Amino acid sequence: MKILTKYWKIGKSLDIKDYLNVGGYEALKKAIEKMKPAEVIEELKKSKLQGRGGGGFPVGLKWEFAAGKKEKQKYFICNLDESEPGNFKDRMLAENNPHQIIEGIIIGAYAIGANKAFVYLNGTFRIAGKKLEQAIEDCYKKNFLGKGILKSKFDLDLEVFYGAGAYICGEESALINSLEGKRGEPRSKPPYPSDAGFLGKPTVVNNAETLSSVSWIIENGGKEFSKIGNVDSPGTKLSSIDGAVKNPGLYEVTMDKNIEQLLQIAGGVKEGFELWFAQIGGSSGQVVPRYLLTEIPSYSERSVVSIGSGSVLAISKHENLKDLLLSWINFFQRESCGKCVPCREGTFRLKGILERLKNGEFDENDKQDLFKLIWTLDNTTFCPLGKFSVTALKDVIRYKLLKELR
Amino acid sequence: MTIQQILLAFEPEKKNILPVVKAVNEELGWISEEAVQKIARYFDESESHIFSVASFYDEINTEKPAELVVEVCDSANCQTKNAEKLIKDVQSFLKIKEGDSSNQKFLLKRMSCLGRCLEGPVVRINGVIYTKVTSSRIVELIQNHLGY
Repeated sequence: MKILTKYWKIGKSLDIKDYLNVGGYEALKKAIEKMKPAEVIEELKKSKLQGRGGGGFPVGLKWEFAAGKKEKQKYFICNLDESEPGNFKDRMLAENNPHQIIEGIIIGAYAIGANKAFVYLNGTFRIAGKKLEQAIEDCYKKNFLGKGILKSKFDLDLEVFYGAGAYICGEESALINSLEGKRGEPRSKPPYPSDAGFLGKPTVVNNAETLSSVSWIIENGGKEFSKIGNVDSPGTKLSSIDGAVKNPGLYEVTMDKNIEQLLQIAGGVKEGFELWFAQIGGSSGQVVPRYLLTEIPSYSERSVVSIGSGSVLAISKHENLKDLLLSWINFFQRESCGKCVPCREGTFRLKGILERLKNGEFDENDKQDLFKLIWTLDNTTFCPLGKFSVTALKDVIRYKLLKELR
Repeated sequence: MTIQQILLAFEPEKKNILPVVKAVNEELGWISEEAVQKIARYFDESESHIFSVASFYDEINTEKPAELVVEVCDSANCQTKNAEKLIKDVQSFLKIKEGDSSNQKFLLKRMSCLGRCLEGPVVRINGVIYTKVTSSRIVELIQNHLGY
């Protein structure tokens, strides 16, 4: 079952002609010519599509909240700021088939009543940026964007906004602050973006992969989508499977596969390597030891392992776990926005302790401090980055993967 | 291009603040005090606000950067592709310590994932991204950037 990569051709990106040839923008036509915004939202709700940036929030509900606001000015934003280590699914979607994302954006904007949309793009994704800009230009020419889209009363302007290097801008409220010309610091919620987002107006922010599923849902119906794969977490998911596997790559899967099956999809563990554990969903993701590879990662509450952004990193016994611990904390310490003390100071101190662990200087004081810092980062930070910074470390401790941390 | 020319290409709206800061950084290599003043005036924002934006983002320099800036991805996927060794290689080749910003000629930094994991290890030298960088290739790439 392919929804996201269905039309991908190796080495060739789909331009508007190619996209139209495979039935592209039929969903947009159906939505605008035959459906009211409320009916579009109803299909998204029936689909049970969950946000694929990692949060898994129900898309239909998010759109419904924004659509219900009486404000005339609303905004729709595609989050393409992908920065979670090990993930490049959104970059590939934008490079290979930008129109499938754009079609989702236009349908979403129509559903909530927005007349202005942005793609917030990771500033290093230059090729994706060019593809998106060309695609947008072509959409204007075909009246899929601009004034009176497809002869309706619906107007929409769409532009690409380039980020400048900040993982935290992938968080929707930080993204909005960045778009407003501010430091990319997260906001207090409530109010949620659907109430007061960009410039204080109702705003919906959706991940690019999430939006790439929208056209299929409109064409085939939400109910059909909800039957695909895992009924608690329906649809397909792009998963970048890397590390000690035979065929590292980007795979489109359904969320009813356990981790062992996902590794098999990537050819299984490489010859001569012994699997130690897998990390799911990037550096903020959970670590899963060998005996738990039967777990099924998804967005369902039933899943012990959250699928997050979807990546799978197979770590073999060859790897140095102390280096990995440092890699994880270096990332979060660097990317911490600095707004709140527990994260700004906590990640910094934790980094120092993990460096001492690497250098063989780790003592009993360090151990006690380590546990205190884990609690602080897990419970007191302004936004989830604090929690993210200790997720893998907690699992390393829980599964007794390092003798110094027992 | 002058700062003034860059500014005039954008409407003074909030959504153009970061794009302008990026454009000035791209053109001049960094955001100077003079740049902060001009940008602030154009957008009718305080200088401290513009500086706070410039100092937040990885891509933007608020001081004149070293002549050669080498960034090595140290995120988990590149770790499995020997990124730590690359960092050691650059340290010994250039005879510098990572993160030492007092050096005007060279700066070696760790950087966050750029989403090119299948082609790791990933290195960025003076803004140019290189993939599948081996220990021998990194020396060659640095030499190319240094002009020999």
